Amino acid sequence: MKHLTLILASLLIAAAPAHARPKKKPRSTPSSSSSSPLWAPPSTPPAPTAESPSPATADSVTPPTPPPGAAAETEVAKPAPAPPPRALAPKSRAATLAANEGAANDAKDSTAAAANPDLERLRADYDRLRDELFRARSRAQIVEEGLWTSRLSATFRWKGGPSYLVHHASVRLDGADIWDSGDKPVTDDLVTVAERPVKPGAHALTLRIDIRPGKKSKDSDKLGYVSEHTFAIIVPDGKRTRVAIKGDEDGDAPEYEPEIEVELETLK
Amino acid sequence: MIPAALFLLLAQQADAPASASAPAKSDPVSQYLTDLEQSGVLAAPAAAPSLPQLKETLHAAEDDLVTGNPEAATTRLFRVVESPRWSSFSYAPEYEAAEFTIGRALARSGAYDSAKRYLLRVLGHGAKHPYFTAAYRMIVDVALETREQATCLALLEGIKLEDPLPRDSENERAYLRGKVAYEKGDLPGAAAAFGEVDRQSRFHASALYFRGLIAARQQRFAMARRNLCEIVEQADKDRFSFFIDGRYYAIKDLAYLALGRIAHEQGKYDDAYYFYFRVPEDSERLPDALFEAAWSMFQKGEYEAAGAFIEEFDRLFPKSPLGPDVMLLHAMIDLKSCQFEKVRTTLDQLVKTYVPIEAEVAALIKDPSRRAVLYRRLLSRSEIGHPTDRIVELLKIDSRFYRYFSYLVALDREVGQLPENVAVWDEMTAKSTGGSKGADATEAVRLVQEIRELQPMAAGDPEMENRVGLLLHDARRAARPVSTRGGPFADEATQALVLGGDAQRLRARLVAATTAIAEAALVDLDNRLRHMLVQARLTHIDAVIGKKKKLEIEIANLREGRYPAEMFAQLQLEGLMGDDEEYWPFEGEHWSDEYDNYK
Repeated sequence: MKHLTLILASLLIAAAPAHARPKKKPRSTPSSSSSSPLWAPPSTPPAPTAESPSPATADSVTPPTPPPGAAAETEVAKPAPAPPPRALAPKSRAATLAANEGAANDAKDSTAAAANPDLERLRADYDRLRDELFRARSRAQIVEEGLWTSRLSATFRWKGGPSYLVHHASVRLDGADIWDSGDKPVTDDLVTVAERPVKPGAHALTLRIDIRPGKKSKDSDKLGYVSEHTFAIIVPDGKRTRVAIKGDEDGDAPEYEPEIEVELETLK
Repeated sequence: MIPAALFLLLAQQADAPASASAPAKSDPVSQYLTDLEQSGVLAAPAAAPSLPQLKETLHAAEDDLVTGNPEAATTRLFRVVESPRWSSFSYAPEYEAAEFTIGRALARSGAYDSAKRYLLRVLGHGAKHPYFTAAYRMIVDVALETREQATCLALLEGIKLEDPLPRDSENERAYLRGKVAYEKGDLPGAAAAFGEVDRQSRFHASALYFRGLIAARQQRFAMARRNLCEIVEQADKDRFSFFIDGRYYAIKDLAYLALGRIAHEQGKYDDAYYFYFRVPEDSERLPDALFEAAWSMFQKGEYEAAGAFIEEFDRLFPKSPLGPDVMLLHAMIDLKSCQFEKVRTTLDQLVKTYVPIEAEVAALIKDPSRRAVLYRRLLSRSEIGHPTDRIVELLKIDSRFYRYFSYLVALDREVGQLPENVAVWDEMTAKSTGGSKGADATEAVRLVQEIRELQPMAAGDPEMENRVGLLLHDARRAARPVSTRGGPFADEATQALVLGGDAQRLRARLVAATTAIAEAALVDLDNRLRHMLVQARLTHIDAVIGKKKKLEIEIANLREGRYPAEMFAQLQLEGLMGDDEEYWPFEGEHWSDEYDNYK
């Protein structure tokens, strides 16, 4: 028997040259026939369908929550097994499940988290005040229509895409927000700030843009810039003024070449 | 009669019914517009109202709405839906469209109470009218957005209809009923209501998810699985199984995660592995899926698979708040694989990394002034150019923090527009009283300018922003020309200033709320890190004991003439090799470095 083992070992060594480092296996998609379940999902999904066994029987089983490392091997010839780790008792995931209960994406956060009555009252007060502020502003805007005959509108087009994208943009008139992109991405489509009545004379129109690289790379989330330009404009009495702003970016991150162009057009 | 005073009177009367279940009978804006036209402030349009003109206005308002100008749309449509001149067109679908569009525009602007008033007007026309279903959906959206689900449900259920509710609206109502019952803790009632949401509803997937959650909470795991599986995979493979929209994919990821958790809870680790594996790489749930999949594999005894998940996690999410948990799990996997040296290295690294952080967190908790700095860093996390902060990265911040912060931003925007509104009213007053005498308040105007210069310096510190805001508010009150403090429109200006004061006070409450949420996250991080460091020490002790035991067994085996497997094989093969040959140790079948794209 000993001789046979030696012969087999010699044959094995002869078959593989000792100096040649074994060639690594080619990178390929692991097959489900692999002995280890590590690299591929089970070939048949275990998810029960509507035709699964009756829930009554299955539901009656209380789910076990075994401790980690409960089954410790005790073979003598093998290196001694590690003692069962005491750290990190497995969490019950039923509890974790409940943490996502509001995440069905209809509301913004979990219902469990929203149980605080103080915060709910704060939310209600906020909604009420915002409604009142909006109504007050609407009243003033209605009056503005009759008060001033001068009109001001603005457009903005970003031409730096797809290399550079506008993460967020806002337009202010004399410091007050008149347009905000909010959560929506700003594409290369023309952004229109609606025409509004304004007092004739000098005004300050501000454009604030938050630019990020369009190409995804290792550091792309750390690159970009925020640019704010304020333009002094004069709105003539009784006329419509249109401000056309164009933005471009010719740099190659982390080098930037921002370019903003403003054109003013006065119409009757 | 003074129009502004009349409006204020009417607005006050109308405020109460706006929040009650019934819509306001008198429309303050309607009376207001009429008064403005009669007093000559607003010029009445020369042309008589016509359907083409209505269509044109509606078209322009819709354009305003889609280009992100809901306020312009609102102003445009107020003059249609609130003017008695247009009331003769109330039969026309275009008029109804105008009512619906103003409801949408108001909701988009955050004026939910006013939006509800117009949407209820649309619903009042009857269930067979073309905008009924859309308005019903919009109210449900407002309910979900404002979380006033019970109030909105009562509003919807209070509508008297001659015709039966359309199927889509029934679905919407059932979903809302389910949500209200769920929040009250009435799980059977919620399950029954969610069960009424049919496949044509936009909430079908959400309702299934909630049914799954309810079943899981009732420990009926097979039922939960069946509901959740219906979201992710249709048994009949029918492409038209149920309605989906952009929300579906997020729900699908959640469903996979929930299925994984249920399988794990039942001890079905292979199933858990399968479900976690199905969470796509672009999902925001992927960190949870990878970490929990690693745990499941660890529990099953598949340490190599668990290690692979952990490595994937490390590669993809090096700055995750789960960082210390992952490191500890890494050590535990090594411990179970008898790689005691690696355990020690990993745990040394863990202690070296997180002990200073834990000390810093503990110091922050004790020192409120330092917490303000952290709060500022937290808010500027998504801004460019801010250095990364390990504590901020580790914090598990409640989503309400960002929600309430968005309220702060919206409130600041609204308050920023108040000076312009006040200027409008002062201009009106000046016009009617023969010009303002601005020189009365030169000193106060200069003070306003100086305080405005302080604003950029206070930016990022919410408490300082509040103080500067209040100061500015007072200075603006003082800076108003004396001549405009009386007169026909002075009350409007005063009301705007009062609202500004209210906004500043609410702002302070919002800052306090967000600070409390951030502090809770900080305390949670402190507890987590403390617990983690204790567990790390215990694991370290386990590793030392394991190593000692391994050596004892090896010594015992050597004493009895048994070599350890790896030494035996090496010695045996080295004995067979020539002098010019080199021993190349067995590397096994597991080429872990080759499987980084195992997905």
